[in-house]
Amino acid sequence: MGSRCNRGLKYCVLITILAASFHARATAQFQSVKTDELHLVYYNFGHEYLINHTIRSYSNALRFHKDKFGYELREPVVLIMSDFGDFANGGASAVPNNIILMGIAPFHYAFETNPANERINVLMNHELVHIVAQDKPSGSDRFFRTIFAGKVYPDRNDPVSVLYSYLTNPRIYSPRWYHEGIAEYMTTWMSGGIGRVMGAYDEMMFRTMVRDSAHIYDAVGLESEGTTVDFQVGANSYMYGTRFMSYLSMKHDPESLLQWVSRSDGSKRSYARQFKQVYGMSLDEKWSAWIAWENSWQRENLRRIRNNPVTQGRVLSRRPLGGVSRAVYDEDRDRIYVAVDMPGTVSHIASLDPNTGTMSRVTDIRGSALFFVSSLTFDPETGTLFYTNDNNNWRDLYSVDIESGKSRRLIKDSRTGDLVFNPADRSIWGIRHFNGIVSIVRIPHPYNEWNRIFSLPYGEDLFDIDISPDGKWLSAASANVSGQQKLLLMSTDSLMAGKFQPDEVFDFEVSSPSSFAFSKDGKYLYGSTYYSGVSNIVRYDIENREMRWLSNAESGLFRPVPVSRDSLIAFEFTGNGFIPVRIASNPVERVSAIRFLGQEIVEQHNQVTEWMLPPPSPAQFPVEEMITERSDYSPLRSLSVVSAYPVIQGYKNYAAGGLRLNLGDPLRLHSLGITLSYSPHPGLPAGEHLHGSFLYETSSWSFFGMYNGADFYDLFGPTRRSRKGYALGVGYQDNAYRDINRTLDYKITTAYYGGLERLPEFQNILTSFSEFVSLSGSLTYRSMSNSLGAVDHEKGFLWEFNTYNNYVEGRLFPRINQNLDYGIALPVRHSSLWFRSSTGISFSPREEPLGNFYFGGFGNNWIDYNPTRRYRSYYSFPGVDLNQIGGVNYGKLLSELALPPVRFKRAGFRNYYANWAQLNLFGSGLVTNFDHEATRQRFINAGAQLDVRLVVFSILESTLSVGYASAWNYDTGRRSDEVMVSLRLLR
Amino acid sequence: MEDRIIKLIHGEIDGVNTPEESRQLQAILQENEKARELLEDLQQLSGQLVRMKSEIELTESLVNPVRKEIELKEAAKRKQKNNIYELNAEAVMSQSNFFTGKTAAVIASIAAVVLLVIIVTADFGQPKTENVSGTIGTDGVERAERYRGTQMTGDDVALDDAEIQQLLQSDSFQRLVESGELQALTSDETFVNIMASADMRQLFASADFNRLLASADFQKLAASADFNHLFATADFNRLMATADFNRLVASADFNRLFASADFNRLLASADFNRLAASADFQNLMATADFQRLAASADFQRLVASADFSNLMASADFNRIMESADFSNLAASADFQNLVASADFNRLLASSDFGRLMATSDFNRLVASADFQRLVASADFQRLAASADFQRLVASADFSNLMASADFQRLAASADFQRLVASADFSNLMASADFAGIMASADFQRLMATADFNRLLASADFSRLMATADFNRLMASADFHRFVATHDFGF
Repeated sequence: MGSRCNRGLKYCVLITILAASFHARATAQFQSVKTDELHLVYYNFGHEYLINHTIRSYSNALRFHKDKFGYELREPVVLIMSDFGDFANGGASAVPNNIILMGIAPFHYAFETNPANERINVLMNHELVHIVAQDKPSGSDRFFRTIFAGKVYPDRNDPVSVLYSYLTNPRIYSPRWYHEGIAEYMTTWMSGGIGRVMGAYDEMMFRTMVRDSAHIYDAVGLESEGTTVDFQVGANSYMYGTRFMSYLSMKHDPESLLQWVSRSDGSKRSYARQFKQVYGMSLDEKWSAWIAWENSWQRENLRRIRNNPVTQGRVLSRRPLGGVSRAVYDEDRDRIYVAVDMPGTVSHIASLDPNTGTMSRVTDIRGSALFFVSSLTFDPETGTLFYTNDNNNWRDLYSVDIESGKSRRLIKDSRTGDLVFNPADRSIWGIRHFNGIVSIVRIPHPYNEWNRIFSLPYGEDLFDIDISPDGKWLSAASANVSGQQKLLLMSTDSLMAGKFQPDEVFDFEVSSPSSFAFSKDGKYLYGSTYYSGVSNIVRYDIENREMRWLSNAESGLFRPVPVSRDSLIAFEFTGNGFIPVRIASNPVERVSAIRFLGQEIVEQHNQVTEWMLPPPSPAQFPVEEMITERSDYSPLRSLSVVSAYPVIQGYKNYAAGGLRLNLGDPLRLHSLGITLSYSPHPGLPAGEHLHGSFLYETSSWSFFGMYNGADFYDLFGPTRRSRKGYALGVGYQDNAYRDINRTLDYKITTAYYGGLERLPEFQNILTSFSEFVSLSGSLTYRSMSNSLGAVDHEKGFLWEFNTYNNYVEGRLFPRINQNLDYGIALPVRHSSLWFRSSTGISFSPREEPLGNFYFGGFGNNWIDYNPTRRYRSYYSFPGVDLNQIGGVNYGKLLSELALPPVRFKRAGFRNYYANWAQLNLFGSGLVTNFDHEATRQRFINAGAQLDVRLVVFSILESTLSVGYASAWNYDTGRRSDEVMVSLRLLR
Repeated sequence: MEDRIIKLIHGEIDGVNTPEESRQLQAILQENEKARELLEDLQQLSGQLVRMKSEIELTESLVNPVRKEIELKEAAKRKQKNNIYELNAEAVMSQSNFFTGKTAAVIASIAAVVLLVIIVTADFGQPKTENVSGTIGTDGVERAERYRGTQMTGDDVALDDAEIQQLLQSDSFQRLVESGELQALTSDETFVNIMASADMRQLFASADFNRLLASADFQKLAASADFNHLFATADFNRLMATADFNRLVASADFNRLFASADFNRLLASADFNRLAASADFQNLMATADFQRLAASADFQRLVASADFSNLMASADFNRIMESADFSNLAASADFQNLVASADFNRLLASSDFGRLMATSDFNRLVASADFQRLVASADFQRLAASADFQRLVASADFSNLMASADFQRLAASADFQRLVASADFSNLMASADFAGIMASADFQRLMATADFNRLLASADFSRLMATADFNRLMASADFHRFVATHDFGF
């Protein structure tokens, strides 16, 4: 007993030392600047120049929201300033604390899907709407926040927390279209009319849907199917939401929207019930009314367009390409190369025959961007395409040889896009985003380094550049903080001399000059613009300084590629993506303008023009006086109570009640959860009534401990995680390598267990000892990918090596195994075929329980929180009981066919509905104890699992799984069957 | 075209530009053809307006009543100051007279003229369309109506130290960071301590330091290959790391000497540079004999003696040999001890010494007024007499450095000579801030680190040193704080 205690003590000391070392390493990487209402956190010296401007923009927007929504800020908003991606982005959440993530890079302006005015103002205006819409409490919300010591974040370990979360913050349980719709609506007017309400892309999308008689989703179908089936995926939430909100404000008044969104005393918890309270009819009824109105509005716009001859292009391919990049024409091969991203097909560069429309794949794009996919340019001499991967993060420059299809990375994290090839000197020019600044860069042959040519001041953006065939001129679209956009021409010689002296060739005012490219003779620039409200192809005569319209399109034409003197290829917008068309290169005489819904709102409810914010001037917001503290940010020092609430758990066959306490830092880098519960049932032996556990987690480290560990999911079974005894452990995980869709992770965990009855890993295996130390590790390489709208990985490779080592009473029981998975995408959309194998060996005596591997069952619980498709795990073998098959070595092979998922347009109710269902078929074979005939076991099985993704409370995803499998003992021929039903909560 | 330029042009035509603004505009006009064209257009337009104004000169019959009304109003205003009650009465009277039919006609006429002028001058602020923007080739294209409020401008976005971005954006800087050298250095405790030290902050913030870094001489030197090779040599790095060197550089004597005009003249002189570059001189410096001699107490006493100085300061070395000074020197115990010393004799006997003495460079240098003034100066004597100097000169590191081709090339370069001769350099050397840094133990440790030396030797760093932005960055308190806390986060 004494030596046991000593060992335990030594182990505790070891864990303490590891914890201390972790503490020492957790040095501050973040700096923080605080005002009374803001806690700004940043990590890079190069971002400091924006801090004061950000504080002013934030305060300016907050002042507006306080006034408009009657919002009272009860805790400072944590604002994380970052530059993790090459394009601006933002995110906000009010649970468990108010936090905004802001990416400072410029927006992308592809197809005019983002505003071009000052980005930090835009982001602050937008994200603070989210904070207000999620955080603003009624009296009862405040009451429950007091009871539960804060705003409760739903925790899958204790699903009862979902209820508490709803009581403290009911409005976060609203669909995405609702949150994004109001944010986009408010942002448009706060920015003086620049935004989605006035968006030409949005008008085009709905106009095209009406023209094509496409299905306009209802509020449920939008979230279940509408945000996954076309290339715009999640952006549909923004567009539908904004459109519906705009319609409401036009039909009623803008103030009614504020009343709907603003949570206050007397308002309903549910966004839908509050809607009925404000508008006097159900959301569904109003949504239907909007769709009817939208049809008539767009028919009127189509009528305006058709007043003049409509351009009829020759459609080259009926198959929509999804999102498209800038396209380039290979005259020698008579091919157009364009990066495409369409649902059901992994994003790639396509080679398109402009005569027949046939396409072939050149190479995959890894990390494609929504809308513009990738940047692309072409060297016709060598037949080399240059393109970017990792387009949502820091872009890498790649090249691919057209003939061989062989690609290679040239510059990692080049952060450069808008690539154009200069035939005069074989250099590549591009636009680089870094620290929120735009620079023109040149990448000379052999393309392994870049040179900065010119950096523009903050707020001045350049995009969609091109270089004339003689290499002397560079064209570019420019945007400034006012949102003013112009087409520029500049001499490359001057640029090389460090002089930025652009010639403003055309002012497009509120429209964007898009994708302008030189003609082969260098005399013209072809591009597109929404000048009339519809994106049409235009041609700029450089010598005569004259802009001519070449099309009068119904939907919209983009990204022109001049292929001959009298015709060009363009990409026409359809609801499913862009399709290539060939149009004549002749000017049209008349183009009619369309009407914008946003303009209608202005004319009917002019008060929205008064919602525009004044500039965030230093005089109004004296930042130096507002700042209360500057310091290093320490997650450990910033830990505080986040929430506390009662929980219910299962221990063996009994229920336990208790309390969970959550602590965390505002950045959510560290978290500590402590649970204490008690099982009062007299059937339990003395000493097993009390249960406790804790888990302290950072991004890499985890410290855990338990005493008679209980678990919520043990209330349901059949898999049980609760165990008698105690444990203390530490784990560490990190990436050894990380690239787009590719990672090499490692993980190591050690723990001391005492007072055990059963093995921690295998619930049906009794132990002959009461304490042991485990050390396990894993190394996992993943290279997986999927296409837009996928519900699972569709192709790829996974290799995993695991080691499990148990040290018991002076003896070591080591085991190792490895898993290898390989999958290919099938031609049918979102279907795939997988082969999954696993082999393992133990270096322990066969008769020792700790030295064996065990297999059996699906492994899912009735109510669960672990991954749904557990039959893929090495230890699973559906058709036989849990842990029924054992052995000190084994080999297993599973083949799996993932059938195309079925998406539901509407299956359920507004807050409870099904998203999709997918059926997977599998069959596997297992052999254990190869080396020992007497104990060798051979099994085969076949089965199927149907997974249905459910959504509850609008945003909480769960999965209902039903599985059936039969297993045969190969040696005895005996068959056994298993039925599995499982509901996985919170995804 | 930039709004600022357009504003300057308008200001020039309106005659409201300050002299400074006019000067700025003239400078812009010389380089910017578009601006010239715009100015010409606007001047032409302005001329047309003047002519138009004369063509629509108002007749006396229209002008007089208006003038009368204005006079009445002015009188009312004057009275307002004196008697408010009278004003009320007058004002009412005035108003009642104002809307007679005749007055209304006058007002209408004036309003029409004003309106005309407004319409014409509304174009005043806009350059000719074809100069800044292309035209739409057909009027059949309708522009969609989209409301847009008056937007903020660049002036409304107040940023802090945004100009540093010009440096951070440069490929040189980023390569430096990505190479890991800068990051390795910033994780070095010594470097962090130095950057966080008050001395460093003062130095970086000092006008002398910044003037020096900003000077064309320094930038040319920093960009030169010689400079970089020298920084990369092991000899240089070893020397920089020695305690002797650092003590010497930190000494008041050294600083005074470096700041002295004599020293700077000497360093800048062609003679000195020829000598420093000569192989003979280098060979001599590298010999063990010379080093032993230089390290000997006798030699040091001699060099420090007033006699020696006087001798060296005399006009003609040959004549000196016969002079009383020389006699005094020769008679001095120090000299005799030196001459009698084995070291001295070995040196004299060495072929290197002989060759050096025979060179015309050496003789010209020694005979030069600059050299003589320097050697005769109290600063030089104090320095030469200091133990630090003597130890340094005697060290193998010093000799190796002096003998290195890189050092010779650098010392012989015109850039180096100009820099060393500049007042900025002298001021910096004489400054307490510089001395403080040089004397700090942290700095000495830093100089000895491989990371620091790799950084100094990199071409990217040299390019950066040559930019004004780099100086600004180095001088910013935020940067020091940043370096002292965490890495660059690229």
